Amino acid sequence: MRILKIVHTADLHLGSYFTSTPEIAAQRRSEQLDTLRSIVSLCEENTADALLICGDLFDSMRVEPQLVREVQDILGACGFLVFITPGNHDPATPDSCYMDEGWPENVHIFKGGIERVDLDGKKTSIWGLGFRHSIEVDSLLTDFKPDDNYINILMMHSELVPDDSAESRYNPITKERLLSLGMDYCALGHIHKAQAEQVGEFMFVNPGCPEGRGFDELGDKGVYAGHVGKGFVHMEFVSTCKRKYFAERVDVSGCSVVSEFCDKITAALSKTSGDEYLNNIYSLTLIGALPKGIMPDIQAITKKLMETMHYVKLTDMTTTELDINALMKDNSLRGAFVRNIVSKIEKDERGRDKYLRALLYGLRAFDGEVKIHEDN
Amino acid sequence: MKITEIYIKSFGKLKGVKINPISGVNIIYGENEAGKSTIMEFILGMFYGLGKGEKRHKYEPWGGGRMAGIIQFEHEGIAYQLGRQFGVTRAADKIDLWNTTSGSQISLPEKAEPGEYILKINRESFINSVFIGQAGTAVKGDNNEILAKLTNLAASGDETASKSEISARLTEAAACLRSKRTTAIIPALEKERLELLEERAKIIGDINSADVLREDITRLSHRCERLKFELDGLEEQSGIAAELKNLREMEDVIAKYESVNAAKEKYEKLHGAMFEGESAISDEFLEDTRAMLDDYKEQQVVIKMKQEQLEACDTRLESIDRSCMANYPTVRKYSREISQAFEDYSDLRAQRIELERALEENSKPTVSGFLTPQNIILAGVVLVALMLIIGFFQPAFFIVAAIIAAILGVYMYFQKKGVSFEGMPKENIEFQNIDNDMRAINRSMRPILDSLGCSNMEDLDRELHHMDTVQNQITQANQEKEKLLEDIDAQRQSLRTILDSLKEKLAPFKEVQSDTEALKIISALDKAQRDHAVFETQYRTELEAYTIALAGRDIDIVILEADELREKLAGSKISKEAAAHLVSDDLDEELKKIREDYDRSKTELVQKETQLSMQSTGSQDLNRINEQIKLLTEKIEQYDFEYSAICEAQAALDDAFESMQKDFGPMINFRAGKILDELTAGKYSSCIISESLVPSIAEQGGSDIRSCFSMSSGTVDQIYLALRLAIAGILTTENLPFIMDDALAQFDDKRLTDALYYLGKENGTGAIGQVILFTCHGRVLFAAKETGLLDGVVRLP
Repeated sequence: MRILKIVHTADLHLGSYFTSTPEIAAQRRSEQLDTLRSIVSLCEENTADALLICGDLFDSMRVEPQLVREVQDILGACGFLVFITPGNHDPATPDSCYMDEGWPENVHIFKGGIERVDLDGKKTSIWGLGFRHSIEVDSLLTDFKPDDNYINILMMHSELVPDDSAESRYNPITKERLLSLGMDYCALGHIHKAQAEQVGEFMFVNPGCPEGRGFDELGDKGVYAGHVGKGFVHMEFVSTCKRKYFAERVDVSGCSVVSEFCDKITAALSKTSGDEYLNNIYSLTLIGALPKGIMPDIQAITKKLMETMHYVKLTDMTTTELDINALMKDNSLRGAFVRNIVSKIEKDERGRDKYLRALLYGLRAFDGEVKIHEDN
Repeated sequence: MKITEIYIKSFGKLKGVKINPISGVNIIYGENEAGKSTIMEFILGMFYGLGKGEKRHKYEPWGGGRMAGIIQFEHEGIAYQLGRQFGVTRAADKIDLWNTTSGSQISLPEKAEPGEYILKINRESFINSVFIGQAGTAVKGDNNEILAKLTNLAASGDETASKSEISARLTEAAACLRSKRTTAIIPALEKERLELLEERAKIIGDINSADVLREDITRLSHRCERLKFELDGLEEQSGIAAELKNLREMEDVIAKYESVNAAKEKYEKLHGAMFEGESAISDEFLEDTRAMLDDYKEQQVVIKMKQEQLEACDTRLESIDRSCMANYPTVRKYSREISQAFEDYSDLRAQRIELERALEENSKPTVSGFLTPQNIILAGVVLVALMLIIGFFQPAFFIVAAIIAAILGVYMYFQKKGVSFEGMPKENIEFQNIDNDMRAINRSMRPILDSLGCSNMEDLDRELHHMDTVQNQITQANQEKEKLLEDIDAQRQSLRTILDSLKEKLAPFKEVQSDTEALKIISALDKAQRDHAVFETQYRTELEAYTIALAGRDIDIVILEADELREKLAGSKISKEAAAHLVSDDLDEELKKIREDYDRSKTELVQKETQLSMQSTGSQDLNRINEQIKLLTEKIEQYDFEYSAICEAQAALDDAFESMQKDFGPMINFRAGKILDELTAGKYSSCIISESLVPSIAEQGGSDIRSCFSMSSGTVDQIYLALRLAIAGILTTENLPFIMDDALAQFDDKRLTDALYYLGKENGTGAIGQVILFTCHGRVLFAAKETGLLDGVVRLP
């Protein structure tokens, strides 16, 4: 039985700015290359026949030459074939790095319309096409006829749309069209969240990005690896990310000093992620009721946490410990204020968070200066 | 509630202090710095905790150890014992609360304070209700502070809670977030975002123009590729054509070389045959023989010409129609008669001619000459016509017309007949006689004429004339023929002579047997000489052309190069024929045009590539900016949330204040007024809080309202006490103790007494709860004793 071993990835976005974590941006860019090396290692471990990179390998069409050289070196050193399709972030424009002549021989880049590359001795055709502009509102996929005696794999950067009338700026394609192509496997890219669907003997996968870049790319990230044959497809998710992004809320009720905050935070993270939390990148929202007069020193807490954790960003959404009922009984202006707020909450439950925050600010104003905590 | 025991184990400077207040009015007397305030803080701390660390630190026991103590109190019929050891933080506090009535320990909820749990009021309410100090003194505090206290009390029930201050704090907080200040957070972020949006728009513009550049570059690249392909093709063709041209030139040289060699061979062969060796001939011989040969040929031509003339002559002779000569014998036979007849006839003819001439002369226009028969007839006709016309008017003229017509008819008849009415002219008669004679001759000659086939003498004349002509022609032709024959003979003779001479000339070289052979040889020699001349000329010409074409090169090298070039061209894709067509100005023109087009496109391509490479921004910057905008937007949204929360707090505060104004104000006014009335023994009966929130009072029965500012400090303190007592009753329904910190110090003796009396009375009625009055003034103690209401005195150590 003919089987092709492949590893499928996309959307590495090498050279990203990492604006959401500027303090570790340079390190993250370096770690992206480590992830690429990990993927290459995975291919070698699995003795893969080919590595498919379906678009947005680079974050933009203008890439530092040094980065291009490094990628070329990494891919050139491996003993298998690498196929790349340019995506909307790195289209094959005349000044694109894909036009550089330093790409190694084992790397094939699909720079234009649908193109077929047959693998020697494998009776396999890799069909690919690439973006030539950052926007492709029309489908780039023109009609083609695969040889049914071959294992046929299509790879492209594309947005899956529900139907033909749906608008998209990124080489739209419908599921029905994918099913009609006569492929054994469709390797897609563009969506950073992994999606895989098997329909009978056919499978199409969007592996998501192999390394998160911000707090909109949370959790585990990786590639898909497996086998493709005639009437047989088996692809599995394999984690490859060096670090994971998490956005969580941590209840720090009752804490008053920096150490208490830190202990509570690390305990919560350790509970969910084990020791791995030390490597991860966190955006934490502190919630809970603090003793009166206590406001978390975000900078100090962040600094302390960063002594052990890799990266954390804190947002303060704590409130002050309040006995609303007792406050409501206060017949002074304070009590009247509290009653007014509670009344508003009862009338507009959707604004609850806002009114609770208003309550906090109001009570702080009763007690003294209201400080606005400004993030840096 | 009432406090039954206060045990300060260690708190600040106090250690092991025990106070057992009674349920009524208690005076705790101590000098300054005795610890009155410390005890008040202790009480507050026991029920509601000590707050932030600073305060805890302030009351740490002087001798070391932990702050701790016990308060026993009764509330709603239950006796409680509250023990508390204060830690570094609230969380470290150890609280023991016992229901001593039932003997059970009360487990407080986490973080709950005993005061809130048992008394059901919060700390602020407790403070506002229980602790009553002084309004302030002119020495200690300024009027604004006092005013603020009173205003706050009146407005909010909390002397520390100034609505305006609270509102100002919220406003300040809001302004930090959003205002026209340059330091306002949200506008600064929005400005930053706007700048990023502008930058992004610019980048997008740059990217779009970069995209346009890329499109141009792609188009130009394709164009250059295509033009290069065309150019290469044409240059290849041009190259081949040039080489082909070169080859042709070389082949031409080679052809010339071969031609020269051929010509040379031919020439030398002939030259050798003619002028070298044993049978060499001289130029003189050739000239002589050529002259003879030319002569011979000339003679031949003449002979031929004459022979042709002879043939023509024969032809002419044959063509002469001799049919008329058949009558020649008859003519010869009757020659005499014919001759005579002609002679006579000729005479007659001459005469006739003369007569004709004379008649002609006579017919010249004269008057009589004018009256010719024709003219007469014409005149007659005209006359008849005229008569006829007149006859229509005058019928008689018809008859005249008829008569004239008759006469005219007769005239015409005779005229036709030849009858001259005037008589015939002489000439006409002669003319007729001649005609008759001529007719006679014709008659006489009739037999001869008939045998000759003529009708008359004129005819015979013509026939004879014709016969003469024919005869002359024949004779002439024969003569000519004779002459030609003679000439031909002469020419042949001449030829003979020439031939003999030629034979004689050839004899030394060859024995010539026949004329033909001689001619042949001479012709051959002549031809050879001509050929020699031709060959020589040809050879010289070709040699010259060859030398020019060779241009100093070595022909062997040219041949070699031609072979190589031929081999090379054999491998080219373009056939020689096709390339041959390209060897033209059209190709050069086309090449030039395409080369210029290619150079132009290439230059434009390089310019655009340079332009593109110089673009400083691109999609990477766009990604960065998009991320920054996204983060900023999130930040702005977050701050906007905070801002809207603060605004809500502000609105809630305003609403709360308004409702308090509506409800609380009048209540305060009423209650405080009543209390003030009691405290001032009826002097001031109304306490009014103006719209500007300034407490004012009015005398009993008086309409004059005076602001508290204009009052003495004692009166102000009375107002303050009245307000505090009034608010305490409003803020809580619990009968909490009043813990007063020298609240009556500024009262004069009478007011002091009145106040103490009031407090005792109210306590006695149960209107107010336990009173614990801290003082360092002995007169207060004395005044209390004087009122007889003092139930408990404690002297602090």
